[in-house]
Amino acid sequence: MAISEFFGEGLFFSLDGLKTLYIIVSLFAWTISFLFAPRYLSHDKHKVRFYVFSLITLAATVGVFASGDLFTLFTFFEIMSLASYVWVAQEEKNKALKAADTYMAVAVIGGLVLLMGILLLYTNVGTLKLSELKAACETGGRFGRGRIYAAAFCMFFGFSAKAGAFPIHIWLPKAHPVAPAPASALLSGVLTKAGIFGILIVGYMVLPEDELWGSFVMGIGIITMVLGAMLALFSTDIKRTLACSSVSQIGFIIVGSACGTLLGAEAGLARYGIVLHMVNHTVVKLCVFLVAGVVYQNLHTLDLNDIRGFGKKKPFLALSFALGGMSLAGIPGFLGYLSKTALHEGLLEAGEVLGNEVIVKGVEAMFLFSGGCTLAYMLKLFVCVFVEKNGDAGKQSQYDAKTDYMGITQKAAVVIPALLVLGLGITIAVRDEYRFFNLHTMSGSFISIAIGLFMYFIFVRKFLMSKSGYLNLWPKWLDIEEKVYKPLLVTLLPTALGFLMRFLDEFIDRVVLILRKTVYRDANWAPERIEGTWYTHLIGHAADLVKSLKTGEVSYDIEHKLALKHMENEENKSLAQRSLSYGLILACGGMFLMLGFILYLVFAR
Amino acid sequence: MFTLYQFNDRLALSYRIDRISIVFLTAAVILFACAGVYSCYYMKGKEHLKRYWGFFVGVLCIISLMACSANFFTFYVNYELMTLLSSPLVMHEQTKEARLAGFKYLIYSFFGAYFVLFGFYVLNKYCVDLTFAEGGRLDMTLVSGHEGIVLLAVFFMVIGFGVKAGMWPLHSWLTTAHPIAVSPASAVLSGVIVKAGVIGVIRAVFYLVGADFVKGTWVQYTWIILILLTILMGSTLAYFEKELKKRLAYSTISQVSYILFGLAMFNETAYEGALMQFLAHAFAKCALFMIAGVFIILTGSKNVESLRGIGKKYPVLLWMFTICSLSMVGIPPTGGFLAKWYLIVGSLDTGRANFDWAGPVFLLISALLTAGYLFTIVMRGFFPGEDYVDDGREKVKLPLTVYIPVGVLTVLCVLVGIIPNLFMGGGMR
Repeated sequence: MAISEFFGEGLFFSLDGLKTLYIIVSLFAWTISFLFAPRYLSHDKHKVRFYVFSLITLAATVGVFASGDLFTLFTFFEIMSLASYVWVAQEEKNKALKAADTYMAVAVIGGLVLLMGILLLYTNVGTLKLSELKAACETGGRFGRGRIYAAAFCMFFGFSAKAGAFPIHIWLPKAHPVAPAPASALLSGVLTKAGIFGILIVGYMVLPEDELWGSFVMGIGIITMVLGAMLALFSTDIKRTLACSSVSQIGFIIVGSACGTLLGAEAGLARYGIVLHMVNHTVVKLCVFLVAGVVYQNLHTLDLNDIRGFGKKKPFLALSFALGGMSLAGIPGFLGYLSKTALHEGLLEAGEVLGNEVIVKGVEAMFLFSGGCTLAYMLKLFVCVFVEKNGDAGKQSQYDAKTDYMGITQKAAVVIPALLVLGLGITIAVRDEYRFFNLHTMSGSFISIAIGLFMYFIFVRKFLMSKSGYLNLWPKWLDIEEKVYKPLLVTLLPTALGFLMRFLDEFIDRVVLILRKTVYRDANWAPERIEGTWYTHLIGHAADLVKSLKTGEVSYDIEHKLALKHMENEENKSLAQRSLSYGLILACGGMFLMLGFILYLVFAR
Repeated sequence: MFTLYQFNDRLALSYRIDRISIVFLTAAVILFACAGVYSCYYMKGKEHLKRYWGFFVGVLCIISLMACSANFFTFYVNYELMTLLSSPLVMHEQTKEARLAGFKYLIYSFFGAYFVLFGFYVLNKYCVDLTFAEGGRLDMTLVSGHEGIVLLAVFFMVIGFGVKAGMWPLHSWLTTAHPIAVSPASAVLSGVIVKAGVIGVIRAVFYLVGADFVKGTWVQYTWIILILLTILMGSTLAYFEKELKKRLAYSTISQVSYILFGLAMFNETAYEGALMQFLAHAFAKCALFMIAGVFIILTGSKNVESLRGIGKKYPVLLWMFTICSLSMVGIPPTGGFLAKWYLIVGSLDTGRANFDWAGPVFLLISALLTAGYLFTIVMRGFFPGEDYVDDGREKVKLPLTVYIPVGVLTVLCVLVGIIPNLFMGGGMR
């Protein structure tokens, strides 16, 4: 469908399997979130703002998934990015605003780089229509293949800023904990997928079957996957853990997309895995973020040591969280098992394309390790909230006494996604088109689970916990935003640029200043010439020039002062010269001379 | 073509309407109408109102005449008159700073005008006649062998008109005059009068000399380099500027250079982008200056810091500010975005030899800085943070004479992005 002449270029929409699926998933996610929101926001003064901007974001997100060309996609992508800013800043706390600033900065920078990429592509291949893009890109375009790589890189940067891939994942761990839970569920569940959607476009249409590109994306994906998993394992804040987990799961999907690029047309399994894992992640994150929201709306804290034991006598909540967590960790029977297994198989197929044994084994190991970490951190959260007792017995009894801790619609919002992942997992497993349930394919999952249990019982319980509770051992200084981005982008570059530009800005003004001091002197402002002599003017003038260059204003002070000083001296001199005593002294002197002369005459003869 | 007076066979005061006239007139008339309504609010109780209105209307008349000029002589005469008539608006406050700023404005403008005059003399010799025509009026038989001097004349004209348009190196009158002038005057100054320089460049380069003659010469390259410097300089300094109106003035320097950049690429798409940026920036910046004037009255401070939390009291006004800022940065679906889209597409289309990617990179860095200096105001205005303390000033009910003109301009700067064909005088390609 096209709306020509609108926005100059005209809007163009089209649908296919993935797009339609994701429009449905988005609508589902928003419905669930809105079921949850009323009670969560009941004390918020700005409820209306939240709903209005959520709906704008929904419209824009649907627009992104429905768009048939990159112009339309970019238009809605930007609206989505900026409208969702309000989610992050909704609570108006200083921490929230700081996170929102980061979010905005990433959104704007990502958007601009994305625009550059899209335009590089457009001018090179002459079309932005998704249906024509693949064929157009294979020809290499007007300016050669180098331009396509540049375009792909810029687009990847822009999309991965939204998806949360390394090294621009910085906004996720900051923004998710401070946003209201219904918003963080959507941010993590759906908005990151809009970025993934873009990454898929780059991988499948701009540079299909390109080995170099596939390897690059694979590298980014693996770093994101492992880094996110490690961050999640170390974190002691429930929503932060979930946010880092999002980074890690996005890493899985990016690895999948890299496999898809490497395999080209034969990437059936990898594609299947990507789609399943996207849906799995969206639905699971809806469930678990909303559970975190229930915790927050009762306790107003997210720290694991404070919320410990909150869910001990709340089986409904525990069940929902457990179902979601198990699906995310890839326990057989759930949707997450299918998606991870499909990705794993896709990875092995892609390994055959790459050819290098060692690298393929390494990548596979990373994949399984991250999968294990997923289980470990979900287990950590579950045990902390639902199994353990709080260190403070008084608090524990308070927690146990809470009965009206969530509304009926909220219950629905939490349990529907949890049941959905189980239901989908079973339905697809029963059909089992790809034969995922045999010893060979299940072995990956079992290895992963084994790693996960090991990580939890050995690493988490031994190293990340003390008697008093959970320890935040992640080194504070290891923060890429504080250590690299902020000094570079906020301090260093602007200062250097500002210095240079200030010089350019004042260049002509300084020239005018020098001219006014030398050739074009302002006649009526200059001091009168009678005061002072040539040397006072020269010295004063030089001093003035130095001063004017220093202050930036035309100055005649010093010259004037010197001249006045000189005149004062002159005046004093003339006053002295005119006085009586001066005359007498002179007369005296003359008489002495006369006397001396007479004496000389007398004695000399 | 209507001839008012014929001096001799080459020089005549004659008028005609073409596409550029329509685009410029659209901007000028709408902006002056809005600024006029806004003046009823802003100038209330000020002295010398008769003088203000007289010169205000006078400038509008002369700008309309300038827009419709049919030949370069007429254009030049009206251009000079516009400079003279607009200086009392700058000096209106009659303080020492205002007088000095007005003086600086005049000196710089005349300096630029002499550059133009030189080019005018030279081109007079080498043109068939001075009537504007697309593709230029150069007499190629006369020019052959003297390309050097003609190119120099073109360069001088670009520099000369560039003074008005705020192009480096002769831009600094802008940042002196804009903050000092009364707000409706700075709004039209930035929205229309600065653009007169752009129109001058279009008329001289595209309608008198012809784009093909300049394309690919040293003039084009020097021009592009100067513009890219200006774009970056304006945005960077706006980013560091703490005084609201001065920040907007620096922003004007960079944004108007986008237009000149589009012209300097000598590409049809970029040309369309330039015209669109012309309109989008005119509407958005005029509205921003008006809002800035209201904010200064409301907070009693010229500083950006004092705008913290202003959205809590005056949300409608800050919303308009937000939408105009979106257009300035170039976020869809505003006019500024579409303009930037066409500018960059045009630039990249020209191919490797013409700095095709350097320009877009500069534009995008500048857009990032623009977001840095405008979005921060919006963000802190709506979300002041926990430790924000209300300054205790009572909320004033603003009259419709504020909301209507600012609202109209805000709507227009979005409409330019949504239905550009309506504004572009003769339609897009």
